[in-house]
Amino acid sequence: MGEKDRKETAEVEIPVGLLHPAMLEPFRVRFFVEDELITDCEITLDPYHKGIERIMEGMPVEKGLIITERICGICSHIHLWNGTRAVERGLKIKVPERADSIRVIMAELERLHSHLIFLAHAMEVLGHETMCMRAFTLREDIMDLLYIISGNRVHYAVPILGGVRPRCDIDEYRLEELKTRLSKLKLKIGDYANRVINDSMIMSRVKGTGVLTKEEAIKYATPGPTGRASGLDVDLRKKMKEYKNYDFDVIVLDDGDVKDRVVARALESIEAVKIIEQALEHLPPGPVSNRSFDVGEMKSSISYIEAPRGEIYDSCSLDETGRIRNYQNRTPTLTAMASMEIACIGDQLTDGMLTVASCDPCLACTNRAIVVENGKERIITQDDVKSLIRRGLR
Amino acid sequence: MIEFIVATILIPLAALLTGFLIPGLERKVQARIQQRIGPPILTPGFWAVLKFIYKEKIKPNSPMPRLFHSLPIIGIFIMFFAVLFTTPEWWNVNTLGTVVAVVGLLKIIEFLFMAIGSFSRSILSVSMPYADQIKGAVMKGDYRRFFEQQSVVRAFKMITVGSFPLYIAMFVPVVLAKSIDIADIVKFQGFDPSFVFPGGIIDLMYLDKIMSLKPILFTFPGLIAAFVYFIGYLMVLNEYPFSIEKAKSDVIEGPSLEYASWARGAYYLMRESILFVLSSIFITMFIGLPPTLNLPLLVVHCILCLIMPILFSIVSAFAPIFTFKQVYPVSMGFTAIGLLAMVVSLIAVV
Repeated sequence: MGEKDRKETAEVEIPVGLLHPAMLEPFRVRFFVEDELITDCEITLDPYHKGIERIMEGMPVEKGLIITERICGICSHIHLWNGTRAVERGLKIKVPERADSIRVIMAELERLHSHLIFLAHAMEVLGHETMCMRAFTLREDIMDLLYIISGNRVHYAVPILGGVRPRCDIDEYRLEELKTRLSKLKLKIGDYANRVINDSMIMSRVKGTGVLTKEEAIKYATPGPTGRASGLDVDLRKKMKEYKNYDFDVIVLDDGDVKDRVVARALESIEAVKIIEQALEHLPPGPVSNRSFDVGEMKSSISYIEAPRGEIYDSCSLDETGRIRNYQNRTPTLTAMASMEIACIGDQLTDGMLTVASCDPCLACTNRAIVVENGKERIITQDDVKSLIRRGLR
Repeated sequence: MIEFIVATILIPLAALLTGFLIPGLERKVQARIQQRIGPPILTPGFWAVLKFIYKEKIKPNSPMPRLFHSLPIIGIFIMFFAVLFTTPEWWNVNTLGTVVAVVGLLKIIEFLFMAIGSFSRSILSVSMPYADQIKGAVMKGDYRRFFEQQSVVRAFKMITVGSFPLYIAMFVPVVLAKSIDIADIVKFQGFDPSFVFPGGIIDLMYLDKIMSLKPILFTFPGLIAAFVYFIGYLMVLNEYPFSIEKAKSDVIEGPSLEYASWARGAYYLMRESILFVLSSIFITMFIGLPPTLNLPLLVVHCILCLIMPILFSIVSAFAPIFTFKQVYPVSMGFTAIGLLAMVVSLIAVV
């Protein structure tokens, strides 16, 4: 091919990252553009590893589990809960109902917290600083609620094997405080969602941008609210025993664009408030933990849970002294980001970053997803995943 | 002659002093809307510039670093000349006091952003190494474009499309006054150069004559044109919601990514000058009060120049960045409204 021909066929690439102000964490996006329109996209993860799984190996189980909280600063509770859940399942530890309710309350508060950070980040990428600031202001109220229950604003350390920490029990004073503040918060979140949905300038940016069809969402196993915004009616909470007493709707939308991903999270926030209200209203009496169990050898035990961004998988095995032999954690961002490679094609370049951000990526959680078996890389099939999910939910 | 020299020194100085206040006001208004305290008024416009001057000098990765560094200074001088062309002392210098001359200078400023972007090669895109490239991977068959270059493409589009509303609005007073001379436009609105000459530099008796002005702003075509001018002002300034040229979500700061230390300070000053000058042109053409040597009138002019930046900070606080999908229709729409104002003013004149 001659020099002239090569120039004619060359694609224009806009490399974004490794570090970029619009990205909260490091990853690389290669946008291939024609004028301003994206014709192809390649997202590369894995620029850094925290090595949490390896750090945990050989640690006493409870000491190790607390490290799972450090996987993510936004959904720290859900990681700890799922890790604890996997071990409780393997060691057949019975968890008191009151503890389950407190875990659910924390998880839903964390969902609110995470969705508001998403809304703030989405608005920041849109360039709407005011709505970004307002989402962060709302988040402060939620962090106060998390503080009231756990005594911490970020890493709460609520679940322990067999229940929750005694300091996180919800007494009468906390119960009233939570109810009062939650009722105010519900109105504020509703107002905020209305403002966003009724803002024609915001809607002009997000409507029809980054469309991911239902078929594509199925093909790429798009998790959580991102998948539900594309019409996938999947929410693990509906299958979890901890959530069986709560009445809430799974938000499923059809358009699959950025608007639906934003609206899905806004509506899910209101559903989360509904769950917390029910949990506070019918908080079961009794102890918050059951510490009568023996820790010994445990074969690999797995658990799936619906985190704010989608399904989380945790597996844990223990040796005969109760130390962690192997721990694995998989987060939803991997498949969500893969879906966004497809979703952003045809967008304007500026909308491309918005589309990538609209799956609410969390790289701190994600960068561990290499499956190696006997020294060789193994591909996990869809059937493998389904079987793992069935085992996890059992 | 003395008045000419004094005006040439004093008016850019007034522009600079007012410019120091504008970024602070802008940030303060936005912060209040966002329920934050915001920075002190002088910090972003003055103290930040001063701070940058004393920062460690960093050599840019630009292929022509000296030219790259000198462009903001050229921009500041162009803006000073743009405001000087609207002063009574400069009206008669080789017919520079015309709307066409001012538009020409503004066009150079628009082009300047393209030039700045063309000479910048920051680390934040193509030059940023990634593991596969470090190990020797070659990106075959593609041309890797710097953020700044993408920003230049956008700047070019904004020159062709985004600046229509501003210039159409500027020509509405021209049609009403039946002249491209700024002298005629301000006289049409009741401004008398004798306000200044021979009354002396400080003379409060001229202040009450402001009330006798008949601004084009308060006519029907003038009001429409003023509205269109404001949208054009946002577009030429590359400010929200038309800041696609420096959209933080992809091209970050756009053309100015590589400006650091004193050059960043100079870039800030250039932006402040543009903010002031575009407001000043509006006050001259739509209210009929040019920047003059008479200090009370100059102070009033400078205070009026703060209104437009305050309005733009309110708009920008409530707007996301528009992509070209939105910029094109908005620009076309406001151009059409500007044309309507032009037609109405033509009918009024005929």
